[in-house]
Amino acid sequence: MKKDSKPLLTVKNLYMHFPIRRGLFQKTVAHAHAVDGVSFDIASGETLGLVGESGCGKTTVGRIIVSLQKPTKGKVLLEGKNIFDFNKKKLKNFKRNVQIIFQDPYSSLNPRMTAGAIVGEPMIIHNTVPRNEINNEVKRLFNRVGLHSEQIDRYPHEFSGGQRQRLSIARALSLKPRLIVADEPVSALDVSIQAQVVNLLTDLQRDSQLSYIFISHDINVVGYISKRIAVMYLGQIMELAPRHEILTTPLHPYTESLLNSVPIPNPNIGYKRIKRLKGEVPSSINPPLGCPFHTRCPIAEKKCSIEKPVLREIQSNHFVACHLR
Amino acid sequence: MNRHINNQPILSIKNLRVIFSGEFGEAAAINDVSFDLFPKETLAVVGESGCGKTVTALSILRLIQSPQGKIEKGLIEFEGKNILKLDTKSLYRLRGNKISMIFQEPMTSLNPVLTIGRQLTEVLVFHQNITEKEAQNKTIEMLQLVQIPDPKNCLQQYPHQLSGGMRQRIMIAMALLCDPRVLIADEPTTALDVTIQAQILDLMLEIQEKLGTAIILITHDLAVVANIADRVVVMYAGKIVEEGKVKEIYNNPRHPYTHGLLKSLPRLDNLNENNKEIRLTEMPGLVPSIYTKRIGCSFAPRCPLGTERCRIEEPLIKTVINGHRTACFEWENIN
Repeated sequence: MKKDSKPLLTVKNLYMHFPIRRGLFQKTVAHAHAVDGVSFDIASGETLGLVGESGCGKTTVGRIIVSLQKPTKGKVLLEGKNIFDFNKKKLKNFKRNVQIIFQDPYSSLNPRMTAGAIVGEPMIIHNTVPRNEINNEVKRLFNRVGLHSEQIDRYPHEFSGGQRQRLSIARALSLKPRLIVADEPVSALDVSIQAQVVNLLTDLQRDSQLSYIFISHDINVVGYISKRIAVMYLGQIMELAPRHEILTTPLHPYTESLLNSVPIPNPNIGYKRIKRLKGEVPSSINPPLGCPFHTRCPIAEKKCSIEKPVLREIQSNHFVACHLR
Repeated sequence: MNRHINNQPILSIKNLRVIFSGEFGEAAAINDVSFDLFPKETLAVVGESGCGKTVTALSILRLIQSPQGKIEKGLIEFEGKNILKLDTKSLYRLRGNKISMIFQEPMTSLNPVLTIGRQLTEVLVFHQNITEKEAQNKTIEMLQLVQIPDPKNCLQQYPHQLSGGMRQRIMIAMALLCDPRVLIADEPTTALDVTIQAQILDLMLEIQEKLGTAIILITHDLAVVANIADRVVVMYAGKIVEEGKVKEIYNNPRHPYTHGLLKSLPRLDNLNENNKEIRLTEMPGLVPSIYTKRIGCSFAPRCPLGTERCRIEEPLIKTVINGHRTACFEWENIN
């Protein structure tokens, strides 16, 4: 991203510690460190990929950005203004600009509403389109995402997984947002349908300068759609760089191991068993001191278990949180 | 790769048809499915959700839920016997002993109220005539083989105390305890993270080398298949559309569905140098429901090569090149 252009959205030092309550009086006994100091920004028309394994905090970051969750600490700035300082009216306005698409197309649509009502409701709530024109607008959105306008009166259960995800996209688009947080939008879909949805998202962006935060565990899909990629581990960003650099010259040992674990669909190259990560992701309730990755890191030194590395710019636009790089 | 040529198959499925009856009437989940499994090989059965791959796996052990589901027709031959004709007692002796299975969900396929030790030794005591003590020793050995740290302690633990990757290792250990000849793995790594998936795949390959078990790997993940399978069976809408050696299938797919599937994969080795936008190749349309009545080829409505003939006549699967079978009239026109 260019330094001189003002970012659309900035995330600053985000922390989310979920309390874990036990016993009769629901006393807080510990905290799960879901997000532990995350900062990044995103420009208008850009796609930022957030990739990481389950429990790394990527979904929580997404939920905080669309203000579904209040962070323990930290700021989310939309064009320089902190959204957690907004009053009710301003927050409503903010929600018009930032929308979310959820992972599970089966549970994120109200089964008792027709497809048309699902897509039209945001426009009624935010009063963005005159009532008598809502029907036309819904039809237009249906066409835009590749659904037929005859399907407007159908219910979600009459749609397939891919079509439901198109419906979620139409709902998100209905308010003409500037940023869409897409939380694993294709993970529940079959390969042949996944390609359709990924291409649809790319087309929409080209037409309207939309920004995406694309959250996924699948680095293949993230690699296809993102301009920049942030790799998360145990609530922290380990590496943040343009797509090509992450994929070809990763600097963080975690990124490297992650890429090595991704099987490549080509039987001619043979099966590699190199640089496998040993062990598993530590618990976020009691994260390791120092670098969160040092327990599995192949090159860890003594320093790594004592001091937490900060995310710093090693090359232009290439940020890494590692003492040894 | 040619190791099976002179071999007899150890498991042979012929013209299998499984029907389910539900509120929409009767429908065939799989229809006319035939394939062989040879000793020491890994055969992958791939396809998208609803194509019948899991139903195929479940039929082999006769685990299809009745009365909704029913194996209507076919033959499953193992060691000269038709599994479908076995009495209950012989069937129990087969399951988990000669043919065992790893299920997709390591979270729900272990009994939550029994210790790991109890669940594992039970298998041995049931199938083999050995004492509790011997069973325990054998179990510890097996846990070492699947690389569980501190196996003795693990025997005392309950499933919820273990992570997903560890539970899947336990499932693998349980499946291998009786030294089965065939291991059916139904999406064994789908619920796991990539770094853990890599560990489990390594483990499965290592164990196969050591024990010589033949594996049927059921999966939707074409990347996993490319890495560990010897042969592939591709299923679509309840039928086998293509079968062959993994390199043959990936380098020269002879069915437009396989071809389209491979092209629609997002793959990092295809990304070009500069940060230019790349489009994935889409496959139009949807997988047909098993309840829709079909004539002709079930892939015809989505097929870029579909002709009038494909819409009327159903292509039967036939061998086109040595060991490579396809069910397509137009297979020569796929580039």
